[in-house]
Amino acid sequence: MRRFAIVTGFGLLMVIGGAVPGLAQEAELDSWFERAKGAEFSGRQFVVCETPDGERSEFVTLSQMDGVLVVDAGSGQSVISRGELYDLAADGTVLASTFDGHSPWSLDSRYEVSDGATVTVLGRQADVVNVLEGELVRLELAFDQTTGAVLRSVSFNGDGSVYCTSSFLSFSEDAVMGAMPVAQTTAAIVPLEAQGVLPDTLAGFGRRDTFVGPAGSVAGFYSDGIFSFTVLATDRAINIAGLAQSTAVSFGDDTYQRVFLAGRTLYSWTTRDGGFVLLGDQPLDLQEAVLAELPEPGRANLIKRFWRRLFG
Amino acid sequence: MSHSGELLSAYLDGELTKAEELNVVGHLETCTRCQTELGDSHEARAMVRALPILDMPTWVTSGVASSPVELPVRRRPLAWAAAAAAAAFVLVVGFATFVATPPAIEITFTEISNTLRLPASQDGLPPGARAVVIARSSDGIAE
Amino acid sequence: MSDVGLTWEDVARTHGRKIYNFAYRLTGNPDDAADLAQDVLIRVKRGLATYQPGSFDGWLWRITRNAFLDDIRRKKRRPTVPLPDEVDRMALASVPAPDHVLAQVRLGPDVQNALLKLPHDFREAVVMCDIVGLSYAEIAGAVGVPVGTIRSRIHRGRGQLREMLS
Repeated sequence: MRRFAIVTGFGLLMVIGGAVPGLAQEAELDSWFERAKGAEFSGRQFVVCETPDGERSEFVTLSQMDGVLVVDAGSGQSVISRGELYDLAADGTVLASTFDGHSPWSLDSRYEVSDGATVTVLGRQADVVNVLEGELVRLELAFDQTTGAVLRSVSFNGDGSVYCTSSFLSFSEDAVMGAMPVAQTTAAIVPLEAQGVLPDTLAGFGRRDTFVGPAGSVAGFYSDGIFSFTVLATDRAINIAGLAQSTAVSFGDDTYQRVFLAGRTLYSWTTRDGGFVLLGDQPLDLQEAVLAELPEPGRANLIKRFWRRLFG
Repeated sequence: MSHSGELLSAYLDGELTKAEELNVVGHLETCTRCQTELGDSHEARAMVRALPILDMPTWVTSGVASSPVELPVRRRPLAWAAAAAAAAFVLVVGFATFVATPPAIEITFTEISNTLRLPASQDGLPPGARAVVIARSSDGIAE
Repeated sequence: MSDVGLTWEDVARTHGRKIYNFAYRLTGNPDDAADLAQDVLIRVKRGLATYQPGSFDGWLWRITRNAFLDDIRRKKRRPTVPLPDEVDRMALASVPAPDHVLAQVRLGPDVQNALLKLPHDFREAVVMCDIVGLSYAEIAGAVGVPVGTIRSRIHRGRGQLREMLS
C-alpha cells in the first residue's frame, strides 16, 4: 500500500507539470471551507433570492459547534452533522435520516479562486474570496477573520446579476446548542451503484452519489464544488404532495413545472419514459443548462410506444 | 525559491508526483531549513510508527457473532430495467393493459428535499454558499 | 482481497487488528477502542448484505470513521488525555525486556498523549497513515476531502507532534 520515493530523470517533469494549479485552487477553497466548518457561532441569517417569479426570502437561526449545525427556520428545527439529519417537528417528534454515501468534495476545473479585499461585515473583519468562472464571479464569500464562519455569500447568474444572497443579521461567537435529539424514526438513505441510469456529468456538475430516492426512485446528487442539485428519476409520473403552487415554464418547446424557494428551485416533468424532479441551488442559467441535458418533457404516442416495445 | 513545506511529509511517504518530487529533491539540496523540517517530520513519523500494535480483545468478535443482522430495506438498483421487463411482459399478455397509463407515484416535498440536504450535509458544510441548500429546514411550501 | 462472498469473520481476521489499533490511537482508551471495533464489525456484518464489490478499503474505513464520529457525538465528549499509566511503568521495572521492546513501550504513552493533543482532523490523518498504513488517496476517500488536504493535515500533524515530543 505504501510506496517509497524513487528519484528519476528530469524528462518526467515536462509531462506531469500541468495538473498542479487546479489542485491548488481546490485546496485553497477547501481550506477556507474546512475552517468555516469548524467555526463556533450562532446568529440569525437572512436569505434572499431574485427569481423570475419575484423575490423569495427566509430568516434562519443558525448555531454551530463541534461540526454540528442547528438550523431553526421557525416552523421546526433541524440538526445537521456529517451524513445525519434530525428534523424536529413542532409537536416534538424527531425524524432522523442517515446517509452513508461517498461524496468527496471537489471543485470543478472551470472555477478559479481569487482572494479579494478585506471588508467589514456586522462590524467584523472578513476576508472576501471569489469563485470565478472565466471573467464571471459565480460566488462571493466573506469569511469572518476571527471564527472562520461564512458571514455573507452571494451567488450570481450567468449574466452577472445577483441570484441569492445569504447574510447574517446578527452574529455571536458563542454557540447555543441543546442536547443531541433522540429520534423516534430513522430513515436510512441507501447508496446505489446503479450505473447508466443517470448521467455521470450534467452541465459541468459531477454525480457524486447515487442512492434510492423516495418511492423507489433513483436519485443522483450532483455538485460542482459550490452549487449542488439532486435529480430524481422514476418510471412513472410523479405527483409532489404538499407542493403549494408551481408555475409552468417553457424553455424552447419544453415545458416544466417550477417552484422557486429561498435558495432552492424545484422542477418536475414527465417524459415518455417516466417522471423527473430536479431540486438545486444553482443560479438560473445553470438550472436551464442542467435541464437541457436531461430527458425532455413529452408524452410518447401510445401506438408508437407499443410498436417500439414489441418490435424494438 | 519557496520552501517545500507541506510537500515534505508527502515526499517522505512517497506520495508526490514525479514532478513534485524532483522539485523537492532539488530544493532540499540547498535549503537547510527544509532539511531540518524533513528531519523533524521523519522523526515524528518514526515515533508514531514505533507505537506497539495491540491485539484486539477476543470478546469483540464473540459480541459481533451474537448480534442480529438487520437487513436494511433495499430496493433493486435497476428498478427501471425490472419495470421495463415487466411492462414488456404485460404488453404481450394483453392489449388492454398497454392502453392503461400506470398511476403516478406520490412523493412529498420533504422527501425530495432530504435527498438534497443529506448528501450535502456529508461535507459538514458551513452556512452560506454550498450550505444554502441544507440550511433550509422549513420546507416552507409544504403547507 | 477479493470482495466476492466476503464475510464479517474474514473482515475481522484481516482488518480487526487495524480497526482496533486505529480506535485505540484515536481514543487513547483500550475499552473504548474495543467497543468501537465491535460497533464497526457489527456495521460491517449488516452492511455486507448490501455491499457492492468495489473499493473495499474505502468502504471499510468510511464505516470505521463514521462509527468513531457517532461515538463522540453519543458520548458528548472529546477524547481526553489519560493520566500517565503508572502501573505499566511499574511493570516495566520488574519484567526484563529486550532493549528495543523497552524503548517502544516507554515511548508509547508519551507519543499517545501527544497524539491526543492534536486537533481531531490531524490525528485522524496521521493515525490512518502511520498506524493503519493507508495511502493518502485512500485516506482522502475515507475522510471525504481532497488529497491535498490530507497532505497538509499529515504534515502539520507531524510538525505539532515533533514539537510536543522534543
